[in-house]
This record gives sequence, structure tokens and C-alpha cells, in this order.
Amino acid sequence: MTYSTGCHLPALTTVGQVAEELTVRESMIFLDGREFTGEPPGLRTVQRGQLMLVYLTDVRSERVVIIQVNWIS
Amino acid sequence: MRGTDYPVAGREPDWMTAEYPQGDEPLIPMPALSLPALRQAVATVTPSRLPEFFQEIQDAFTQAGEEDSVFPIRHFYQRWGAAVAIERRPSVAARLHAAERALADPDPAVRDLAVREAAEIVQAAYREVAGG
Repeated sequence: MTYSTGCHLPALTTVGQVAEELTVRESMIFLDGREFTGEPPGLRTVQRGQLMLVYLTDVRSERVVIIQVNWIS
Repeated sequence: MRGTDYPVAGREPDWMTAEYPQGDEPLIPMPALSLPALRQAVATVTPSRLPEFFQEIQDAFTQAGEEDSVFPIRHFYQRWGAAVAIERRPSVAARLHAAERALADPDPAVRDLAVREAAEIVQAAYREVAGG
């Protein structure tokens, strides 16, 4: 997982929690993992309170990559 | 590797260090982050996404009501502002969509490059929305 720099602690804590949830969810959706040959899901967002993450699921590498963190204070 | 316009892994293209390539004039100016302005911009640069736009604004207002919070609406404006920032430059949009497709590539180096490419495009778009 890649964190954006410049996050303050509450944002970082929430990012970690949401990222964990995303990772678990994606592992349950894309059961083929490294053997996955389907259409990749593409760019997606998730919003939780003040936080919004933009992320990509690299199914074949079994990873969720957060590419943008938005935190409204 | 799918597509013909995606870079070869290990050969870093010159656009990876530039915000936007020269000569890539946007189709429209950046709209204000308001519902009418964003709706018109989406209708102009990516009309096929209008149903998604309307569904998301409905979801954002519903969530805002349930949570008694304006955050879902503010995130909606940011998200669609960034989408317009990307789609108003067709070559940038094409590169992002190529990067998304490249995540199906069996070569992990190609997927790494695709992630970096998508991240640079998306981060530049959010900076543009923020006025940076």
C-alpha cells in the first residue's frame, strides 16, 4: 500500500483502517488472485467521513494501491 | 500487453515527468465546483458518464442526510472536478484508461508502470481541482 505524504495522524489512521477493509474485501471478490485473467476493475474511490481515497486494485499482484488521499478538515 | 499506445516497461516515457504535455489543449476550461457547472462539463467532455454522475449526486445527498454531514457532497464535487480535469484533455484521459487496462497485463513491471502513470494523472487532476 502506498500512502500519500503530508497526511496528519487522524487521516493516516483512517486511511489504514479503510485500506485494510479494502484489501480484505478485494481478496474475497477476486478469488483467482495471481491467476486472475479478467477485466481489471480500474480506478475507484471510497469515502468515509472526511476521507476519500482513490485506489487501484492490482489483482494479479494481490495488492490495493492508494493513489490519492483527500481529507477535508 | 494490450493496446498500442502504452509504454514499454523499463523505458520511461517523457510524459512521466510533465504535468501535461505541450500542445494538449483542454476541450473546455475547468468548471466551477458547482452542480450546474460540473453537470454541463461532464455532458461536454464525457457524456457517457452522465448516468453515473446523476447516480453519485443522488447517493451523496442521501449519505449527507443520513450522516448529517456535508462531507459526501464536498467529496462528490472534488471527485467529479478531478474527472473533468482528466477528461477535458483527451490524450490524458486516453493515457489513464490505457493504464487501467494495463493492470490486466501478466508482466508485473508493466502493471507497476501503469499504477505510477495512473497515480501521476490522478494526482495532477486533484491538484488542478484544488487550484494548485
